[in-house]
Amino acid sequence: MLIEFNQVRFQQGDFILHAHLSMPQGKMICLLGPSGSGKTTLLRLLAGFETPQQGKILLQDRDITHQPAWKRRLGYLFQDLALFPHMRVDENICFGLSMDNIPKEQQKMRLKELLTLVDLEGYEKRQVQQLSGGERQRVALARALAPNPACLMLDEPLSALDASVRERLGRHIRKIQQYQNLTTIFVTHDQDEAMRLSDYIYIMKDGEMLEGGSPEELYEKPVYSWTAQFLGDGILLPILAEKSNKITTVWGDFILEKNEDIEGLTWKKEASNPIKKDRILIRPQWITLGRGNKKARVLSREFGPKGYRLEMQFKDQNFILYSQKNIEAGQWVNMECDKVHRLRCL
Amino acid sequence: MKKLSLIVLLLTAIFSLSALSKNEESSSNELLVYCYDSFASEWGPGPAIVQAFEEETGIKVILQAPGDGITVLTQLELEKENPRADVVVGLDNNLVERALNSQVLQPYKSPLLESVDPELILDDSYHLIPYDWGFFAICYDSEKLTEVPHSLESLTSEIYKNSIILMDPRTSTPGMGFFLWTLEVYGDNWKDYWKRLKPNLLTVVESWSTGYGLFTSGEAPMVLSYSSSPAYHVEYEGTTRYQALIFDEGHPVQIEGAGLVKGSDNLEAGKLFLDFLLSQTSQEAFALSNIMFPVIEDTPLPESFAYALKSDKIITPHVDQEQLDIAIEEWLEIMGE
Amino acid sequence: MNKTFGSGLLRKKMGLPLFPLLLLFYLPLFGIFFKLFQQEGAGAMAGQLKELLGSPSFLRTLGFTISQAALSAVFSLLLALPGAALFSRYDFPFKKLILSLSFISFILPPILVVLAFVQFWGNQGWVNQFIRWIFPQSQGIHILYSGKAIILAHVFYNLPLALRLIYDGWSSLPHSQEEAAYSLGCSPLKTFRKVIFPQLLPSVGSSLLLIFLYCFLSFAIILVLGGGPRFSTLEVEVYQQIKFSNNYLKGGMIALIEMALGMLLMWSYLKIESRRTLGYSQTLRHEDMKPLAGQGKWLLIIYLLFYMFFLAAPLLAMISKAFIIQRGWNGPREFTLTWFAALFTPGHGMLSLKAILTSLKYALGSTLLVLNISLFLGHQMLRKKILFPRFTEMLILMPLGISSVLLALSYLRISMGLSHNSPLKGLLIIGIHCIIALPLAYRSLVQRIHQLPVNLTEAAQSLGAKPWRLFTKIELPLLKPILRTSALFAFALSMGEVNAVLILSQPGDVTIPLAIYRLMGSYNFNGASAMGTLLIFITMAAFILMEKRNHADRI
Repeated sequence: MLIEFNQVRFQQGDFILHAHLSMPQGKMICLLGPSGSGKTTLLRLLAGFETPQQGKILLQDRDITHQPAWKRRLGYLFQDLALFPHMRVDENICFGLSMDNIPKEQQKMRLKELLTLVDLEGYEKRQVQQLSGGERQRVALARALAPNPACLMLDEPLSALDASVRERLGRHIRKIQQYQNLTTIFVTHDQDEAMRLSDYIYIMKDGEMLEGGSPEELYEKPVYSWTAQFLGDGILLPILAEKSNKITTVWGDFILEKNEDIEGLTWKKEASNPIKKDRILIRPQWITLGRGNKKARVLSREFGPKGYRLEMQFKDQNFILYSQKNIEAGQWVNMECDKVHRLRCL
Repeated sequence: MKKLSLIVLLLTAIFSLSALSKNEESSSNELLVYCYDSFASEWGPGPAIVQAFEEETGIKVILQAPGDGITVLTQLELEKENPRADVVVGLDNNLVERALNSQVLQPYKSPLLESVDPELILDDSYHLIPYDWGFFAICYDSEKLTEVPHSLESLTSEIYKNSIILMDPRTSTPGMGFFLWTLEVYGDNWKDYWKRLKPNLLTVVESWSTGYGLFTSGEAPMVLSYSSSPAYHVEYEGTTRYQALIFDEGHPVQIEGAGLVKGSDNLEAGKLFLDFLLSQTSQEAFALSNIMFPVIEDTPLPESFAYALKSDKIITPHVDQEQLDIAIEEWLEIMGE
Repeated sequence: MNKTFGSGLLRKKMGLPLFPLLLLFYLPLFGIFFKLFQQEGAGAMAGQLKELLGSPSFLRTLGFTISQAALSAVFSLLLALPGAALFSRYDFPFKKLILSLSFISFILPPILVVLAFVQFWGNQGWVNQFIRWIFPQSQGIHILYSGKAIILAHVFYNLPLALRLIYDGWSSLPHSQEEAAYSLGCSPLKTFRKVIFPQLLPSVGSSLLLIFLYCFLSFAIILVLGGGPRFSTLEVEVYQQIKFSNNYLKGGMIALIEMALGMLLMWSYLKIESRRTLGYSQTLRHEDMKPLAGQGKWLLIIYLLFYMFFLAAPLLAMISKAFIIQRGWNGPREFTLTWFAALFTPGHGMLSLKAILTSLKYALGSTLLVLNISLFLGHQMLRKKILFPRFTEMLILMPLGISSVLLALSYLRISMGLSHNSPLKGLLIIGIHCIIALPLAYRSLVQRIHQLPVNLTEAAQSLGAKPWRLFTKIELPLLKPILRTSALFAFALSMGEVNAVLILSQPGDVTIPLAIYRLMGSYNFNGASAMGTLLIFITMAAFILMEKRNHADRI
């Protein structure tokens, strides 16, 4: 494991962050959560901008908890980029190199390499104020990459850009990460982005890591109902009765193949939740229309590039479904599902 | 840590420096003279006198001017336990009592005092010996004023409404001089006099410089100054536009004096310097650069001093500090009405 | 330095940041009060305080001191607001220059400002001459030597400062807010009241308080222009008690009351300042400025005319005195350079040149010291954890609220400890000038440091910049403009200061203001004006130099 947070506790005013997790090497790791969930704080703790009150942060088994930021050699890309306004592009990119007193010649070579990497050849002497948003982003990226950091941290790196640049740049970053096999941790509140770009996602909520896994795992087999809802559409049905591996819901009975065990994961607020009703999750992808005996009503219909977007109602549950069939609003359709997943309620 | 050690280093440097400079002080061929600022001023009498003295005696003089006469005396008092100065120049008759009480001086009767008018002897015990003097007087702008007053009383005439610039007795020596003047002349009726005078005052300023500046800017035709002031304008500007007024009641004088500082280890040189202040060179310098009368009677005066008038009645006020404080409170009441 | 960031409290400290102030300000001051305590005892001191606070005449003086200061502050503010509105909206040539003129009034010794006023507003002044030229029968206006004149002069001193502070506050408000208000149907006036003004409150509050403090300690202006002791302030009382009545007890206690009030004001100033929203820290960029056109243009021209008339004209009147000679009785007024020539004739040993050099020496020295100490303080206050931060800040600002008579006296006591020709006296002058300029230099620097995006320093750290290199490579370059401004301010203050120089200067050392005083003491008022003109020109030159550098940096 490259990075470990060992029972780290950090408090700032009313906000408390508690982190106990580890991150593998060479992967694209995403910290995902709503705003105020502590993802940026976690990043800042790793970068050394904040110091935890308790616990240890380990980097390749080295305790860096109290090491000042400038000794850690970790790359950090800021949400607002933090390009130095009084320096040119080349000065910005080589800043970290000159901190290491690397000879000018080598700096120049590295600069060239980086500019090629981020597609900014010929931009050396520009003032950073003259660049477009995407260009600035790439300069900041090159600057963070320049000293060959042990890991790269990205704080909402794409949030300020418009959609098309955003997608392109996201893939670019992903490519660079894979090419260099660089451990990269990025923070976002955008689920699509998180799932598209990362190897591994940690879900953050209220200052704590809720659960983690690969995007597929988390999407299809989340532990908590909160995660399930946060990551995408789906029907969440309360469990009415449960006998060994047979579950009764308003949809009917389901036999779960094996009891999804989630040992080790407990969330601080889980215990205090008064209506502790577990649920099952049905993702829209698991539903086939026109078959089966469950009837749902189409509330509205929109056309889009992915087909028809149908807003449907089943019992008291509303959900969204994409379908190639054109079904008019108000109609009833049959449906069937071939897969369910049991959730712990949160 | 670096910064702290820097500061420590700096402090050590400072202290060693000051120790060094203390050592060189005890040279006996050097005379430290405390004086008020305008004496040491390059436009004042000091530099010329010092230069002449150094040439004559070979004794080096250092003029130290921490401010006005009062500040000089304050410094002497503060240093009483460990005096550094040898001579002090510029304590006037208003400060004699305080200087004697605080015992910062030692007496010296210069033989040259024989040619000084006895009325000008500042102090019978010769702790301070006079070197120049002048009358406090009202000066006027002859271009503006046709009918001139001839007494304190006539200053209150209605025709002089808003025509006089005075100085505040709380902050200025001439101001105090004028205040004592009215106390002396009017006795118990002084408050009444000030009430009548008040409508004629344009303003009461904090210092002589400001007041005289307002006067020469044409703000008012009359200002409190010295009877010798017009000599300046004749001597340096070639104009007789500004004239002094001699009042029937007589005038208070300001006598400026110098003395030996008690505890000085350079008495001989100090005495030489005091004598030199009464020499013709110095006396002429006082007339020309201080625009005050020399105390030695037969000092040849520049022609411009024909416009420096003298009163034949010298007023000597007798008020102690406590009475004065009360009077000033009362004066404030009157002015504030 | 210890690298472990242990429990917070252990690392908190307050001694270190205050060390320079302790040395240069608090120790000398403490010395005076300690001496007083030794001589008189606590009982007498308390008794004197009680007597003062029970005396009607003292309370009247106190009342007047406060009310004139309050009025001056309010009027300065009212006149500054329209200017700030126009300046923050439109860009026009010489805007920077005009804004930076806020220093000019600081450098002039009050005595020179008085003369400038007399030259302009006085009975024979420009305004009245003009009026009589148009209406030969008229008596002219008599504005000097009254309560009005005090306010007029104080507004003259402080309007530029108020304009500067409020402009800074206003131009950091994004334009979009105003536009949003308009789009919601809010009239311009209402927008000002409901949207702009509430956000301006911190800068309004702090400028009010600063002006109040300056006027609170005002002295010569009040006596001369107010027409005499009718209008008396606490500072005059301190002066009288200490210098003329030799009553240190009473003088000291009055100064103590002054200090207490000053502290109270400083406290509220900091409280207001801390409410300043730090979120909107971007200063208005060039593109946000509207081009000058239409109604705004005329309003701006009118305001600038007023501003020039009110501020520049009296100074010009003073300067003109330096170039005019009147020969004989009633001779014609002629242009002349005689007064300047006289300043530099060998007869006076070229002392004027020496004065300029000495002034520059002290001014540069204290500027360097101010920059270093305020950077040090700013760094300590922001990057380290400090015990009682607001109290510490108040202690840093305290020199703003101290009686100059008392400060001078405290330095007189120190100077006694030094030999008469000790070079340390020069250092002390530099020290005291630094102390006078420090509070404001420090405040403006700290505000700027607050506005520096934390991200930039963090980015540099993540790239491996050690604290020292972080400071030299990132913070210092970004702080350059404000450091230049602070430097100019410190420079100007030192160039104009005279009290400390009087007491501490070594034999033969003359500064420009000292020369001005001495010239006046020798009846030479034109010469004094010439010297004052030199003072203004030198400071202006320093200003233009700084602006040029700032401009060059921006490109």
